[in-house]
Amino acid sequence: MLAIENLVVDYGKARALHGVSLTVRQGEVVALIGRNGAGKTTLLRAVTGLVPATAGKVTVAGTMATGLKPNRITALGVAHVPQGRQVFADQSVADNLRLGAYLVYRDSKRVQQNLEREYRRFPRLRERKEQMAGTLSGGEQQMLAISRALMSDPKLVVMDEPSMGLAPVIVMDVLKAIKEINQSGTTVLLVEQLAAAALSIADRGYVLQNGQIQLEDTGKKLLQNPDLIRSYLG
Amino acid sequence: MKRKALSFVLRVGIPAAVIYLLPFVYPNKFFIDVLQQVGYTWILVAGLNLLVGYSGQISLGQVGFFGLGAYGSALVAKHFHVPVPLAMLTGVALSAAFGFVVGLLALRVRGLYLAMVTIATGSLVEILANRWTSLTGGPMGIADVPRLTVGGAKLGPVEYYWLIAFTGLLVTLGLYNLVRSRFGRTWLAVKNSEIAARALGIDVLKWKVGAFVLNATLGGLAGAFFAHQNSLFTSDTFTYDVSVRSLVAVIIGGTGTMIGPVIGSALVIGLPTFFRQLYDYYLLLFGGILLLTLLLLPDGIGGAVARLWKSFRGKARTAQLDRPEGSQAPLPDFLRRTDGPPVRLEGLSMFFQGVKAVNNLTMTIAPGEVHGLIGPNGSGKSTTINVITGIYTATAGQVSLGDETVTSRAPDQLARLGMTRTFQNIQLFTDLTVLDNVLVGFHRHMSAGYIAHLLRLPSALREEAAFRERAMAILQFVGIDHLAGEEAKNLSYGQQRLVEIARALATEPRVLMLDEPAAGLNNVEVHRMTALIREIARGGITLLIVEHHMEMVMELCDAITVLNFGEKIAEGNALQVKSNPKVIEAYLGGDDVISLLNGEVARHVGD
Repeated sequence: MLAIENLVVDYGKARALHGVSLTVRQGEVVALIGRNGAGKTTLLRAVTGLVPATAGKVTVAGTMATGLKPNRITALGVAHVPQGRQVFADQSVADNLRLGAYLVYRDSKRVQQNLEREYRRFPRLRERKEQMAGTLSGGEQQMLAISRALMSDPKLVVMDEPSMGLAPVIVMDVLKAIKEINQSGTTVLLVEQLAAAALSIADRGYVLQNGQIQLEDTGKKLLQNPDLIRSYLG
Repeated sequence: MKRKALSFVLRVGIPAAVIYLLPFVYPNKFFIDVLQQVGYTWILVAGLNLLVGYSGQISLGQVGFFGLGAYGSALVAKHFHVPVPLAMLTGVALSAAFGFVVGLLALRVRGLYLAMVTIATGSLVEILANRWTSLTGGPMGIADVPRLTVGGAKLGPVEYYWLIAFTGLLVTLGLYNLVRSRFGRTWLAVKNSEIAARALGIDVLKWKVGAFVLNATLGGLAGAFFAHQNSLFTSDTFTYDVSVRSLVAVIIGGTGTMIGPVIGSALVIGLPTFFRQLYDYYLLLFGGILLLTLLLLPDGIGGAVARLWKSFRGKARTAQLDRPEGSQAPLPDFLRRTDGPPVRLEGLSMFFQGVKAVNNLTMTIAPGEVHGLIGPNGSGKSTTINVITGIYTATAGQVSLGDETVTSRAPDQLARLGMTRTFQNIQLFTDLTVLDNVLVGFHRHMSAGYIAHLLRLPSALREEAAFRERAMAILQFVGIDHLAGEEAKNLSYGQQRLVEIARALATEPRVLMLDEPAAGLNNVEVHRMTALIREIARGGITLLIVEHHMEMVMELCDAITVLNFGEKIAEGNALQVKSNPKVIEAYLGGDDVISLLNGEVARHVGD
């Protein structure tokens, strides 16, 4: 589904990613963990074309995505749930969701179905559908960001810390939702600070440190790896 | 020392030599006249550059300041027979006063509306110049404007050009000093995030108006130079075109750069003059060149020069952005005091169009304690902080800080009383480095004034150095001193949170409110953050923490208040709250939830 080969990304003179390679197979949930500043967000942003790659290759379902504009990559079926939510603050919850369906907007029946599906996923959004997104609490905005990404029925969703700012009970709901999204056929690449939580729902995981992949294993094995915390998260 | 000498040659020596030599290149009257025009336009544009590039405001009414300076100076010199320099000062003062008024009007609007307001104030002066013919002579003009004399002899065109251009250079050097001092920092802070600037004690209104006054002062000075250039001028000069050209000069010169205004002025004055022989085509050519510059150099010529200069000077480096160690130092001594004052909320309510975000909340944050505020998403936690810190005006109820009632005081007033905060959606000053972000935090403790920074007096430099040292001490304490020189926007989320905390600490607060300090941190980092906050609390600072990371809340907090739907549903210590069935149902979920989120991995490996 997604193949990254020797990806290098620079911010000015600082190198954020030093040749990262990873793959996400069709139908998988892959977790990407690592400490702050390791390059996780940068990696996701490079996948969806929000930051340019200095070198390396990203392919989505066999199509070369490197160098494509973000909107073209989205059209390949990749959706991004960005860090810090980035909802359209001055538009209503419903309009935010409809904008998420931008790629399929001609199919109004499908848009309506997807809207219903997302309201079922997060009933809170239905309660607030007329409210401006900017007036939602942080946690509600997070739900909105996730739902917005799913509105276009993406093949691959990349999620940047979906649990951030959520109440514990809601985090569980979100984890369940991710599992559910995956079971309905969507491939997921997940960046998450709650490493244990992320690995518990992931098929495989990668550990990123200093812009390089340090470990790769199944979610279960990483969960039991004693080095993980000591060396790579702390 | 060598670098200092090089910088002196580059910034003073070469420009001065160029200014001095230019008239000899092409010594004819027309060319000198153009040079004079470029000179006063430079001064006009330098003011606007500051307004746009630093304070983040805009003016499309530069003609107003330019006109007031010109008419003020010319009329006073002509009718009151005062010496020309004095008359020029009157014109400048008149323009500055007008700038104050426009600045006050500007506070009520922003963006496009601000542009509209300034267009209106500019055309006001335009109309007066045209229609008040008994005073201004209108299109017929003012004749016999006194000229500048030295020892009884009229200043020749070349000397007058030198006077204007060297004034321009001095203005530029002064502004350069100003913008790399706390003044530039504060303006950029206001431009990047007004809300964060206010939370640090910056009186945003004062700073925005101040920028307008400074811009108007320079605009007036440019006008005064124009007025005495020839013995006659008419109202035809004062058109909207002056305002547009000034803004164009700022942008193609490179907004916010110091070299920009002179380049921009030379282009907007020089190009049309140069192409004038082409009659009908010259505007087309002029427009084409402007368009090309903007397309090829999006941050202007000055911006491109600055980038080249940086890549020439800067050595390639591979910054290690995720250094693993945490805090490198204990809490600096200047942050340790006796316990901060208590904060009391009584019957506090905040309604938004019928939504009861916070409803009749009464709680006390005891002196020097760490108080937790938890609850489901949308239960009113952030709203509570926003009401306490003055960002929202409470619908009902009272907030008191120590013995003082502070309900609905402005955030900057509260910051000056010692209360500050961090933000859930991080509000950093993205144009500033990490160190400068922290230095803005010291705003309320800095006293070196405008003149001191304009002239870089030793008192200003000493103050700057002293606070730089303090800022580094705070950065060491939060563990990111190695990132001091990085631009804040290049940092990862967690590092940005640390910058926000460091910046808040720089206000030397007695009460600090942290809105989700652990968001975006992994479990190990959360432990480090917990230790950091505990150390801050040891300094006697009263703390209110909104957080979803339960391990942190339970470990840190002396008392916890739980909200649901804007109302308090529980209060007590960690143990009491954790076992309260209402809290478990609304918020915590079962034990399995908590243990998973707290990172069972950590326990498996015996962290």
